[in-house]
Amino acid sequence: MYAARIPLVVLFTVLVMNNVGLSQQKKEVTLHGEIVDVISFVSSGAAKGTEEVRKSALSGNPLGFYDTGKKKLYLVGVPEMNKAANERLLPYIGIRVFVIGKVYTRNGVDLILISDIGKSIK
Amino acid sequence: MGSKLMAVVTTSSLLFLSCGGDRKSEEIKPPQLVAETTKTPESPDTLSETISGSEKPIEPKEDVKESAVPKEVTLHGELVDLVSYISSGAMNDPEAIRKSAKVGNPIGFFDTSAKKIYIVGLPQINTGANERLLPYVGIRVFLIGKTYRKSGVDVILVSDIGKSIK
Repeated sequence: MYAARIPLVVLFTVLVMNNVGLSQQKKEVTLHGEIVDVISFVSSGAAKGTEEVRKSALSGNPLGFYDTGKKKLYLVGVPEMNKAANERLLPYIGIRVFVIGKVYTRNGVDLILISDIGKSIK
Repeated sequence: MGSKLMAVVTTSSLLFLSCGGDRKSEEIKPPQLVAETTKTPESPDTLSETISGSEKPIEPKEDVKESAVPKEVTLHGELVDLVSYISSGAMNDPEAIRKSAKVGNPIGFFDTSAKKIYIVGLPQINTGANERLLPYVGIRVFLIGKTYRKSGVDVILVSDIGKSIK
């Protein structure tokens, strides 16, 4: 009786492991939206002017990406270790952009590790 | 015949009352009445919706719901490198967080009891929080500040930080 169940348990485990594996393989996504100053965007809700966002970013506040379609805020990182995203995002403040990258979610917070960014015409 | 009928009616009504029939009738209120009794003067948007008599379920607007008047709170937890924590789940050793913060990656705060991540800012405009947080990397800390929430992201504007003994 128990011996007959073992292959089923093994099969179930393999299937679960495969599913976990698949969900961990991140796919790159393309998002369209704008670059925001995360702190002021969340705390005041107001979209700041281009110059203000630039100033804030240069002072060390993190820049984020706001997906205007899904109305979702992402923290932004770059895949390279010990490199910050702010420098890469600075030229795109104030314009509609697309970002390509892998999205990660932990404790309800979304992060995109961008591999590419550019001006969006969408 | 008439007296029998009266007796049956009286018995059935007594049975109905003893089974809590009157309680049920008290509980069933018209929906509008319930909505009006739950209104508070602090929610003018929803109140105006009730007055106008809309039948849609009353739901506060996103901004009202997420960023109500912030209160100062004290949180206990630890500082993390946001990018590596969210992408890999690694809490990182203090030296790695310090290195990452120095190149400009944001330091976040992980509330260990609520299991919640906060992006940390300072109330002063255009001042990054990393420098102020760096001495506390690797130790359990408390943060005092106002918390804000929007689009699923929590921010705390810290007014004080220190070593936690909790």
